[in-house]
Amino acid sequence: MERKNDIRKEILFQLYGVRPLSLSAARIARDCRKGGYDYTPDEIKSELQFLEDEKLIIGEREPGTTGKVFRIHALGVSVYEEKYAA
Amino acid sequence: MLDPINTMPQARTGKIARASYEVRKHVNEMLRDGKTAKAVINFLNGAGISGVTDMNVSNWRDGGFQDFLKEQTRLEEMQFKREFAMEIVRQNQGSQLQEATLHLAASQLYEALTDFDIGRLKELLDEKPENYAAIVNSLAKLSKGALEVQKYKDAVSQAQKEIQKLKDPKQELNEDDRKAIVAKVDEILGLK
Repeated sequence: MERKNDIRKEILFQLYGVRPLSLSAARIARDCRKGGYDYTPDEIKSELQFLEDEKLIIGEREPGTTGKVFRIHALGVSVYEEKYAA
Repeated sequence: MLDPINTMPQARTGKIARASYEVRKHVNEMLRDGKTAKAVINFLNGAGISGVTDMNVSNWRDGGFQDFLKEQTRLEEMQFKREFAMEIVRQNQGSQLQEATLHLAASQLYEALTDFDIGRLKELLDEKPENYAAIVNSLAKLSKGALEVQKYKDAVSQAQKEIQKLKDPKQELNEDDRKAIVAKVDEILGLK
């Protein structure tokens, strides 16, 4: 559970940092690797889905591609600041 | 749906970690500015958080405050790239774009920018500011395709709205519409 929570924190952190812009799952995964985390793309996609279901982030189809991009919702900002920010 | 604010676990559980975001942020800023533990405790007392000891502040300085410094470094880098991406889009297409489309285009530029070494990029721009225009042009081209798709989608959406208006039986007809309908009826009836 702790690992899942760490992944959620990292996803929210990245989307919080670029808000109101959006990021793809692949971009998030690459930045996780750059940050020294070993989260797999599947784990990241799974937690993106969780956060989307919880309405903390919003997933949208990216025009001109079959991909999806994600941006943080206002509720996600509150959760990030209250629960995760140092 | 769960209540995410109350069900997602907190990373740290100490006295300062359990304070609100605004209070933690102020404490971090005080520590960054070199304020003493006593000053931090006084501030916390004023914010209604009592019973905080020198040891609590010391623990926070070694833990939560270090996380804060790392977070700030990463946030500053992300925010620099975000502002850079948004500025490029504004300069190139901004006046013609809706806010949502601007964010979309800037997001795509941001994705392209994140693979650059941002420190090196800053140095290059400081050394040769004329490179700025070249970078802006290259990045603008990168996003142009996606923007064209978005413009096409917006145009289709607008056309659909216009067609919908014509389908509305309660829609009041203007003079041109009436003339067109009369002409069409005349044509169908062979009067013209």
